[in-house]
Amino acid sequence: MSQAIQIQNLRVRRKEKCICQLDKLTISKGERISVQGLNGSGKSTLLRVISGLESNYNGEVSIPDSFQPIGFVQQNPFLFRGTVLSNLMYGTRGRSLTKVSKLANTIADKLDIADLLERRASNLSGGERRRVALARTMILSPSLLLLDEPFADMDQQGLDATCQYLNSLHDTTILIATPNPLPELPFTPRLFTIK
Amino acid sequence: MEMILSGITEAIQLLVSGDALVFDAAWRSIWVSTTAVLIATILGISIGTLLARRRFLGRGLLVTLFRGLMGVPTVLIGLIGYALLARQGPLGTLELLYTPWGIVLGEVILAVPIITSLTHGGIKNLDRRIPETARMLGAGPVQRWKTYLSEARLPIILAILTAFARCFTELGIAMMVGGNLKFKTRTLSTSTTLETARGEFSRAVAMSLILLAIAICITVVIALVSREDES
Repeated sequence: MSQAIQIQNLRVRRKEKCICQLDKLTISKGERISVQGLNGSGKSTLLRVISGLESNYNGEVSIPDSFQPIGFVQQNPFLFRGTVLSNLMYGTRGRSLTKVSKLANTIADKLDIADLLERRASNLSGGERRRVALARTMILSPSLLLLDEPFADMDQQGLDATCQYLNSLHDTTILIATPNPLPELPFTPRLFTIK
Repeated sequence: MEMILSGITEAIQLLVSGDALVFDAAWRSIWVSTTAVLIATILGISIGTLLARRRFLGRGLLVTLFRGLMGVPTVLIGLIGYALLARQGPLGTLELLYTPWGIVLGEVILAVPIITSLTHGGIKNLDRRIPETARMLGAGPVQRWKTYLSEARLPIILAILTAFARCFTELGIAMMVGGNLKFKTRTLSTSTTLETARGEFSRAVAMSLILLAIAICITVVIALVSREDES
């Protein structure tokens, strides 16, 4: 069995309109891919299909178990009511609190959001929200990380922290959807253009 | 105008002196309404969430039915309650007619559609990203349910307070199912009606003042909750 994600002849339609069309995409384990395309080209829809949030499509999408769990940070991530820390801990119910707290602090340090942990999530800026959402997803140690426009609204400091952090994820396959060329990254992702 | 002013003065004297009739009715109104709303909250939130988050045959019909039941007159619920709880009725063996628990049952029927419909609306209108984010973060059914309730906190609290206000001030159920028995099933609203009919205007005003005070309390709570939610 292939150890790569295989997507073939993907078509997603809404009200007779094709909102995502893709002939072939193969994603190998540990690969970093930048999915680029204009607004409305179907980048977000592609990520939704891979994440499993979008099940109404035609075509073949095969995701081996080795890519589970999948983490998805949406274009405008939603942060739940409460503090940044409670958001980070959201998906960790049932796990050792000590270990999870330590992990949350480590990730928060790396993403330069450690000083935000006690802040109310509703009071964050756009760039801070994206980094918190990324940290919240990364606490679950996903094998496949889907990022929809992760660098939007970020200041240089946030951008540097996020890029360094993504570079440190050696075992994680990363897909980044962006309408513009990515900022300078410490790694070079494979470019995949969607039309 | 003179009658109203003297009524208010005498009413305040009755309240200060701790008039047994007034305080008995007030206490019964509070516990009957609170008990009914507690039971209705458990049922209404469960049904409302189910209707908002699950797809099944007849869901739309149930939503419409609960919305329609929000406006049912309390005398009709009282009439149906009387027919059900009367000795010859299907629930006659429970012997709940002319008891406070009979009123509780009627008020549960009154409150469940209100809490169900408003909870359904609150959860249905939640941001689409909430269930998606919860799912992507591996939340199970119970955690997702808690998340929906937390995010729709304001409409759900408003639903509960609305139901409480309706139960606390209703007359039809308490009169028909409760029977307005002195020191047994008499509530503020049934007492107010009776005392007015008997010409005991000051006592009726005293009871109305308590009703008014509680209505103001509910309004203040709603305002505080709304303000906290906005901040």
